[in-house]
Amino acid sequence: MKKQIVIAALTFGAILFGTNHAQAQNTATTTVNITLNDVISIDAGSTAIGNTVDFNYATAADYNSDQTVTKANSLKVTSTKNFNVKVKAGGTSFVNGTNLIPVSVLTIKAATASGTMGGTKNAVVLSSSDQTLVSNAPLGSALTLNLDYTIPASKSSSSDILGKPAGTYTQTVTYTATAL
Amino acid sequence: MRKFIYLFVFFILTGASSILAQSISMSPTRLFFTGSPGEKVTQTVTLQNSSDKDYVFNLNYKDWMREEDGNKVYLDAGSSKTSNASWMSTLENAVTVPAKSTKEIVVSMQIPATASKSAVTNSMLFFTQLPQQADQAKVQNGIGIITLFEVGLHIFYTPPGNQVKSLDITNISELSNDHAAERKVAVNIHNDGNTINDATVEFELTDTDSGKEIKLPAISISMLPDSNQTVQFSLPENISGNFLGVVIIKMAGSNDLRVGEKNFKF
Repeated sequence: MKKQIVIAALTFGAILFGTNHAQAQNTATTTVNITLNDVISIDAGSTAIGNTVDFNYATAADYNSDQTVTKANSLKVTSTKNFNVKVKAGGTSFVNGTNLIPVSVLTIKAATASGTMGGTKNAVVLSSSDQTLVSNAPLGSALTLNLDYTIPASKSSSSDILGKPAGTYTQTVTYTATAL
Repeated sequence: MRKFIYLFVFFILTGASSILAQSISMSPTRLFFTGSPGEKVTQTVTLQNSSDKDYVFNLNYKDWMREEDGNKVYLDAGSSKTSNASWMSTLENAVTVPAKSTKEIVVSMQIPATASKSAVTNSMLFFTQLPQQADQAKVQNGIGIITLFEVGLHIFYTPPGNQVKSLDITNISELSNDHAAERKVAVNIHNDGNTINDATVEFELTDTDSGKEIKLPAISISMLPDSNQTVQFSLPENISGNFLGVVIIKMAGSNDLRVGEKNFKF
């Protein structure tokens, strides 16, 4: 009988201890904080990052026709907010020593298959001031934009280009991405 | 079984590598400063270069304003009425972010002792990629374009006393358009609070005859105090009938809503 009482007491104690123990475990809480920061990024695979777009004028036909260079994945942007892309030239002219070609000979616009980037896309006649290429593009990851760089025949057959001394005329074109 | 495990690990790794794609990123994209006149306040912005190439960025400031259609316009630093570009400084004017590394840039704002205790001011800090020797046009005779990249960091200053978050729907109207297929409804919004206000604007149409609902994609906005913005919703092609249009503006960081209604006959 005594034995049974001891067993019962031990069992009761064990149950109490067990529940207490279990309760102690139940009340332990952990706070999980998820901090989200805004990010905007351009993929280094973008052809618009330290890359070049070249137009070559070698024959009469080159001067008399529209020349278009399509750059796939010109821009690959990841943004946690809607964003805009603007474009500007580093100066008013393509420069070859003292010889100049105005940057306005070049038009930049989204290619017909423009990629995964949304928003309103505009054709931009290049200048040294910021112009909107894409406005209010919805946020997303690795959004691509394929661009057409065009020099129309009306420019290449004009005195803007025709008759200029041979050589390489260069200028920088900067794409600016900002969140909404 | 083991094959499946290998396959699973492979998918995880390829998935992770696509997330860690080689890129140059800036975080955050906006800095919100507050403080009393005369105080100096600082925040940091992080540039991360996960590519294999070093990048050099020039740091420069501009002013900016938002036109009514939401388009941002950049202006020379100091030319805008609400400019705080002259309050801003960083330790360096150019930063090199080596390959596979992260750079933290401390951005300081010295709030002038004479600063207004009620005016919200703004500017933008640009990180402009500088061309390096390797970035040269390859063409022999012709036109060579060197493409570069720039990111803009919005900078805002809100005086500590400014706490009123409010937007007002001032008008809802159908835009007159010759092309019936491209109907649009414009919602005019005014920020009548005294803080920067991020919000989403939703527009729903209910056919008053059939009860059918059309929910158009929401548009995000960010408005400075005392500014106006017009948000345009493109309507579905060939919409016709009597509709009740409901505009709902949800302001970030608040449970406050703004609701506007208008009847339309398309």
